Amino acid sequence: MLFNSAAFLIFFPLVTAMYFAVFHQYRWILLLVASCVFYMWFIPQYLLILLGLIVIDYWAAILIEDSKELGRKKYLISSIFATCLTLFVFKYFNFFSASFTQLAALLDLHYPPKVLGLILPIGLSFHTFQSLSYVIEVYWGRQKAERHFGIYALYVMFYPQLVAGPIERPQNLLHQFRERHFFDYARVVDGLKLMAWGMFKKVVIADRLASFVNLVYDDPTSYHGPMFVLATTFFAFQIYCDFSGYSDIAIGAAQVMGFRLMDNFNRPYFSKSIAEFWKRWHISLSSWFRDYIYIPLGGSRCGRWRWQANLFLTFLISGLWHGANWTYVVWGALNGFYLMFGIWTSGLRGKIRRMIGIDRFSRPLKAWQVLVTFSLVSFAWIFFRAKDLNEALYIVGQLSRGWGDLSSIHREFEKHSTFNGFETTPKGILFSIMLIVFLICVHLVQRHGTIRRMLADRPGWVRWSFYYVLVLGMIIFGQYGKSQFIYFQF
Amino acid sequence: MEKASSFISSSEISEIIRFVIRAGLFLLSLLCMIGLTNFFVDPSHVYGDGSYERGIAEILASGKNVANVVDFDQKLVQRILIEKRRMPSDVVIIGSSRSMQIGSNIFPGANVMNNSISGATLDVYLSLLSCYDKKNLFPKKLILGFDPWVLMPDLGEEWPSLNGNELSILEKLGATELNVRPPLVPKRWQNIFSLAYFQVSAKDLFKRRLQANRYFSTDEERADYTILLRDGRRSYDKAFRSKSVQEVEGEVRDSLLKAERPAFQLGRMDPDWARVLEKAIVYLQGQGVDVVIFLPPQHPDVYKSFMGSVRNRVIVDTEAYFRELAQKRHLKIVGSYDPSRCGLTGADFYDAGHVTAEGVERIFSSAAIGM
Repeated sequence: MLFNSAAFLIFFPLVTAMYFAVFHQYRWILLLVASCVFYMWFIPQYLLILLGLIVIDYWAAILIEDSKELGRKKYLISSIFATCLTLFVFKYFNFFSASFTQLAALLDLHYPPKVLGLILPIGLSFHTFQSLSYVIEVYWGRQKAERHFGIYALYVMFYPQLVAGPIERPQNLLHQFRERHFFDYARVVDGLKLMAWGMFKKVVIADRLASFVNLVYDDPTSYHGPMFVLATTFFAFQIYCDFSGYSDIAIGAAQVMGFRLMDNFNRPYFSKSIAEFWKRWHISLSSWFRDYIYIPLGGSRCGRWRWQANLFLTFLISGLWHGANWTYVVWGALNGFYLMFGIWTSGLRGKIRRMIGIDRFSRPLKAWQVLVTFSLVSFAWIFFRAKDLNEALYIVGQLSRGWGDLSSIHREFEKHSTFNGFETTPKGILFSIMLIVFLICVHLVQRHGTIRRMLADRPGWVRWSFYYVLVLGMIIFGQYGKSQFIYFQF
Repeated sequence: MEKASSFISSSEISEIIRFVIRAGLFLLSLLCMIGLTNFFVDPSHVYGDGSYERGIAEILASGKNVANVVDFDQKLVQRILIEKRRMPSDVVIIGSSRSMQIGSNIFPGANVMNNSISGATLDVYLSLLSCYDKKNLFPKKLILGFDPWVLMPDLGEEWPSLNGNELSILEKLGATELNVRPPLVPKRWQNIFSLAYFQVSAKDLFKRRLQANRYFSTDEERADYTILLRDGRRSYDKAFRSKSVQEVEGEVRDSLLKAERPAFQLGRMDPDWARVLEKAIVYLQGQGVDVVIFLPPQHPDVYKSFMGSVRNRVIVDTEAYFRELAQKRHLKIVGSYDPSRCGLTGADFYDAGHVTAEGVERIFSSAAIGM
């Protein structure tokens, strides 16, 4: 079920009302059933895959806890193997098979590609990672194995974060299913406001920007540098609004029922370095990779080159997590390279700064760093968004072209103005830019706290006017029935 | 599991009541805002008293063209136009927007009336025929433009003035198959809180299009804006008419991607509807009407895509059905859903489904449909 669908508009209030109406000891059943319904809305039979993984990891964790050292490791490996095998079969088999065929062709060998006609279960990468984190935490002894099957199943399937995160840790979420959540007016309203803001970002900003991005990226040979720069910048904000919008709705929906999910985004485009960006973008995944890949590999507590290799490898895997396509691998590698390059040049940059006499905390320097970080991140998004590597390289090659003849830019704007909807007309693009500026302004204000907290201190008429403007804006300018959330495909 | 001491506390109940009242008021006020905006702005004249449509019909009936029309109840205009007729036409065309390029350009010198209505399905055709039947003004020649979805219920466009009670011809046809009982709450009132309509209403309110785009009578037949011609044809605005082949192809790609209903997601023909259609044709022939079937071609890329689609390949069966019907009832048949059979290329289309005026003229000239 999509958060931006009519079905969810009925599902959510109904489940929430029932949640507060039933006795506390039966609420987990209600949530589990609701989560099954939510998941089955996509492809019902895939619930069996999810249940299979839940059974495996449930027993693996109990066996790990009850076993001695050697047995513990055996069960951990079995659990990780089963989870990763599922992920491999559904998500990566065709990719590796096709890549192997290409490699064989390069070596003049014949290897016909084998293709599995399987559809990737929605959110597979998210709930498998959440299950893995549970089993690993039990193995490390930082989490007790959950003996209540229903509660464990709910930990994996909790519908607000089931298909696109935030990827929760057992320490944060599991115990909350045992707590009794009272109906707290302020908390419920706060959760609803967060959901409304998330929905606004998705239907008003992300989906509007998507029209222009799709126009350019679906037919790259028709465009030149300026259009690619604009489309890529739009995509940077589209993917942010799409995914952070989803996270806000998920966190808000859970909050309405009394659950606290971890934050997933913290104004990432205000980061002053790539390292900072990854602490503020998709936080639940970045911290997952940090805790379960990067640190076990040795993290930074090893030699300089090993440390950098650990960084690079972590980002390479992160790229592959996002999708079974070389574009994602290159995207991950590029981000890993950015980080390594940042380490290599850190001393030099400090020297230059001191030579010029710029204060480390000066505003112009911060602004410059934010701009450079955003440009690097956006450049990497080209690989994320392009259909394949050839197309991505074509776009990269075209970035510097077409800037001389400004009238050609205008012509390109005009070319698709009438027939591809308002969003791709010059006026529509201007409106999209205004929305981006609005988002940046909101983020600037959010440095001093959340808008919701700030609004809480204002008079009633200001608050209510704001809510009406937000909801009416969402209805009037929203794009409905157009798209899924981008991260669903992962 | 922790045992709950009580089901729900009194303080919780008061919090819930507070929430329900406030959320209820908020939603209610939003609904009122949406309903009132939809009702008063009413960009498609769904809630109007018909004066907008009457004005358009008056101009057309006076022999002038009408320019700069915005959305309106096409069905109502056609009904008024038929009611205003004193003499039968030589040729009447009933179809969807895909038949709106047929008119006096194809039958010079004849008295031609095109009553086509966008997205028309069989119920709309029968409603218009009922109007002609009531006035006993059937034409000598009736061209029925049949889209592939004409016999697929629920795929047509809902016209506010079509309430089922206008289908008086059904009794004469003895067509009990068609359930035309009007809904308890008319469709237009069911949609008073439609968010999609609210989007259009709000945008209209901002642009003040209603004042700026008031229609006017004209003798022009081609202009920057859309013109309804006196014979019922539609002359599209310049931007729509003058798209390049590549632009149309791009649009077609986009349309196929979106696969909106009904044009790109066909269903199955309803056998009851098919029986009623046949009865209607028999009745018309009995009234001395020469019935001609027109099958408007699809854009080549659309047709190619349909051939590769399990669902949309039904278009072949649909065409075969109409050809069989034509043979059985000795009707002339013009055109084909397959553009190559009509000698059309992508250059003969305004968009995915609409053949240019010149393209339609070529189809009819090769078919030699005389008066």
